Amino acid sequence: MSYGRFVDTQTLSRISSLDLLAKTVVEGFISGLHRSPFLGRSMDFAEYRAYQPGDDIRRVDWKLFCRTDRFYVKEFEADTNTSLMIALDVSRSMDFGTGALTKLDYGRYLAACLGYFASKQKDRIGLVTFDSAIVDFVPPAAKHLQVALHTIDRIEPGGGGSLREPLLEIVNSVRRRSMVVLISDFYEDPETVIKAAAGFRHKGNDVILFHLLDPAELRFDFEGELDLRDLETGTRQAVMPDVLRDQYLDLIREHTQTLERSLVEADIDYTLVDTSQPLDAALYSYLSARLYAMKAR
Amino acid sequence: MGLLAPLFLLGLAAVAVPVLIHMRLRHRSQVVAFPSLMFISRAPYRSVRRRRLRDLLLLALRCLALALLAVAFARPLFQGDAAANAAAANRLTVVLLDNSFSMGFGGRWQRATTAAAAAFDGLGAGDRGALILYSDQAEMVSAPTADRSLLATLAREAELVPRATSLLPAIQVARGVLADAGSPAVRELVIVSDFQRSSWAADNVASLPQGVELRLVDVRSDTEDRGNAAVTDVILDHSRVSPNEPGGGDRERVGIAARVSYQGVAGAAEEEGAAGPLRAEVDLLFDGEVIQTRAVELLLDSSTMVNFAPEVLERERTTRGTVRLREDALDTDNEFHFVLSPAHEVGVLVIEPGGDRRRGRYLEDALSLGRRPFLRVNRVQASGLEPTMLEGKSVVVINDAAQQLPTAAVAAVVRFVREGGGLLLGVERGLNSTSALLGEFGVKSSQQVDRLSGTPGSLAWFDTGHPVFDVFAAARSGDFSSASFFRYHRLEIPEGAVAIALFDDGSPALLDLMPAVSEDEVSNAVDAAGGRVLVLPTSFDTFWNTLPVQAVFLPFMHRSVQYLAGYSLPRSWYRVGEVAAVELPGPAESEGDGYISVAPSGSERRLGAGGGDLLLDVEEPGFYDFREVRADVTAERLTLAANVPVLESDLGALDLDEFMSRIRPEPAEDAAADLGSALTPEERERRQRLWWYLIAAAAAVLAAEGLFGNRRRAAAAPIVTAWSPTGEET
Repeated sequence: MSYGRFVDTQTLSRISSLDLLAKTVVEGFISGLHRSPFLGRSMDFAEYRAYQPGDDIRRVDWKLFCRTDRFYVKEFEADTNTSLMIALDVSRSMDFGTGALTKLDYGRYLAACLGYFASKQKDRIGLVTFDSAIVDFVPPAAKHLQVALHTIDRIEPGGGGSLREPLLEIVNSVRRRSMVVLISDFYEDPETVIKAAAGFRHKGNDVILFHLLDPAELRFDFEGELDLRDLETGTRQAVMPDVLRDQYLDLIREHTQTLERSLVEADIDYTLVDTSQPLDAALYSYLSARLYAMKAR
Repeated sequence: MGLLAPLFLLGLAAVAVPVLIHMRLRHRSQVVAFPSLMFISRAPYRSVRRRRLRDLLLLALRCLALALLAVAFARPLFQGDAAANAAAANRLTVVLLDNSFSMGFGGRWQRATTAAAAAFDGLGAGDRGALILYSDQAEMVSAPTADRSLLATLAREAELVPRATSLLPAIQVARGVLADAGSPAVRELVIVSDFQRSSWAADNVASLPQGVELRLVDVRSDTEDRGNAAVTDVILDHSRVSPNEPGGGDRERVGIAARVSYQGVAGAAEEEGAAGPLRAEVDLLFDGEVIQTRAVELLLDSSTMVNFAPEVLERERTTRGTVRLREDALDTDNEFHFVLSPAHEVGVLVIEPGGDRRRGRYLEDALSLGRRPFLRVNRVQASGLEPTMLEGKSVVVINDAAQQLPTAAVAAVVRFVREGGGLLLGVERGLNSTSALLGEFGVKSSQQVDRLSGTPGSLAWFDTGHPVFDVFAAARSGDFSSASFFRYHRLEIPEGAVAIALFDDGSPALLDLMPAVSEDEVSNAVDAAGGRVLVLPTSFDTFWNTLPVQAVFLPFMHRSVQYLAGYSLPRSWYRVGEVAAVELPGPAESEGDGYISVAPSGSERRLGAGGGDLLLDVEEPGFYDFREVRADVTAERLTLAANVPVLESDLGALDLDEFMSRIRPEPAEDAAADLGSALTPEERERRQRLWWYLIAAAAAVLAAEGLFGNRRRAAAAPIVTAWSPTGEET
């Protein structure tokens, strides 16, 4: 599947309506996946597994018991809706972009698309935006798509600071078992991020982390002698990018690899997203996670 | 120090350009927003301060390059005030020291080296001297230098060379040294020599810069011997030993005559009769052993031939011969070396018409007298010619028998010529008929000329540049005009042929169908284009002409056969200073070994691997040996004999007054050009060419700047010195 099938970020930046944007992206995405086995709502049989104490006795396959004299439980694809809680980082560091979109724009579009996608699956949609604290909170509900889109539409980049507090607060705010999508650039100690994500996971949520980074952050292809100004703190640092590049890239690579390794160990999905690329990679990650969540136990 | 174009110094303002660029770039560090300095602050980075220091170095290099260019374009020059003043206070002495072998006479050389060293001893502090050794060529041993001890040492350690003397080239070299020396107060040329008469031709004229003092140091002495004896030449007369003599057969006999001269040392007129006759013994040595001795008595300024009894040479072996005179005050010219190489033999087949055997009598007689090379003549009638008879022959002479040759014989003769053989064709009868052989070579006659009535024909012109006729080039060396030609054919000259002799009516008298370009290419031309063909439009007998009964007939036939056979007489000796063409055979077995030449002094030199002609500078008297590198030391060697120049043995004195009259000061305008004090600034600047050095320096600085700048760009992660933003050094 080629990226050309999807709407590129340059085009997305020219669509003013977030609703239209989400619809454009998601419909295009779905049309490319119309034969995908991950879609559809059914009671399709999935597999047998051995009976375990605590299993609903009504799910035992008695015919198979008669043939084998063993208890087996049938498993089916999920037929119930789930909640999608989107947590979007709106801190000042997200207001950075060297292409058509800033990371915050990209995050908004991604959140809108995921919300629209979930709406088409009849899932409940919730939204929380945060910087150093929670900024907006839309509780999950089946009819909250327009509210969420409206909230996303009026997002403004906030201040800076640690993500530790707002993340913990969000963990506590999600009360129902949900699929939690965390969208941020994660300029935070990996330990803090992992603790927060693990908190979601411990409460039975399925967690997806979208780590948004601009190409300039990934490649650090600046030239000449620069004064770099921190968007969140305003501090400046004179650097020689050609000299600094390799060290910087090593550090950012180490950061992302630490996040990915730790999160995968915690059974948490992690997707590093280049904001110059279309949204499909992020959507795929979401679909994969949702499939996992829909498995009926 | 001055400047010819000072306005170009305004170009120094260009130095400001890189400064401005540097300052502008340095202060325009761009402020770029970045999401977080979380990782930037963790990474060690190169100190900006150090970077600026490096930039300053680059800036300095660029400014320096621009400044050098600006100054170069301003054309700087040294006004020479200081240098000229310093030079004006000193002197330059150039010593020409004659080291030709005549300086070895008596104690001349000792006196000469002492005089040359003394000339330098007189130099003061700041004075300079130069030493030039000369014989027939000049060699600057030391350029002008203030090191007096070095100059004196070089003069004392100079060595004689076995060469002749020529003053003119030496004076010209000295003139160049004196002219290029700037403007010292005193310029002096000292010539230390025995001033032989032969060292200066009567029409020689030399010039020296104005103001040069010429001083002659004559090293002759009244106490030395009054004459010099020398062996100046050897004449070799080769002949074949008669088969009837004991040990005869193919062996060769050589008669040796040596010319011995006894030249007076001083001018003949003033010293006539002052010295007694020379009584000495002259030895003939073969391979270093004395085999004959002759006594000789000579008056001063006379010469004589010393004849030795003929000696029979050994077969197939090169003999080294030397004629040696008793020792006298100059030993170098008392020996004369020569090489007696084995005689060459050329096979000649004479084809005659059937019937009258007398027709070939003159031809046979002429060829049988051949020496160097010896001619082995066989005779056959045309009708009886078999192709096998051509084997081992180098030349075929067909005397009016071409029309009688059988077809197979014609083909054999043509093949013989194509394969490199020589053909001498005399035609009378049958030229107008269809002769296969004549047709093969495109020989046609447009008319048979009959001059029985009236004036018979004669040979009006021959090409003295052609190898056949070159021996007749000198006056009274050959009279072809006395030969009468009553009948002959008017030949049409085929394409590619040349007429090398013409009758008085302009028709060709001798055609060369395959002419070599030059004598040097004789052997090559034979190899490349087959053999040669000479066509005489008459016969080699007295039926149609009287050429065979003329004195020139014998040398003419010999030269024709030598030319057709591609034979060149090997030289028995060379003179020092000549270039010898040595024909080395190709390597016998393996490739790449090459030859070694061993000079008379024993010095060895490796020569090229392949065979062929080698040009050798003959530099020493004696015998040069050439041998293959891997050859057995006992193997036969190629040998070359060398002797000193004969003119140098004449120690007759040069008239020094006449010599001085031939040394003239240069014209004023030329002299002014040589004198630094009279130079215009433009000329001075042109001579000094300081701008060139400045341009070169600017190029070097720019290259260094480029190298340094590229290294700075290529500087990568491993950093030697680094600071964290907080100033902590890591």
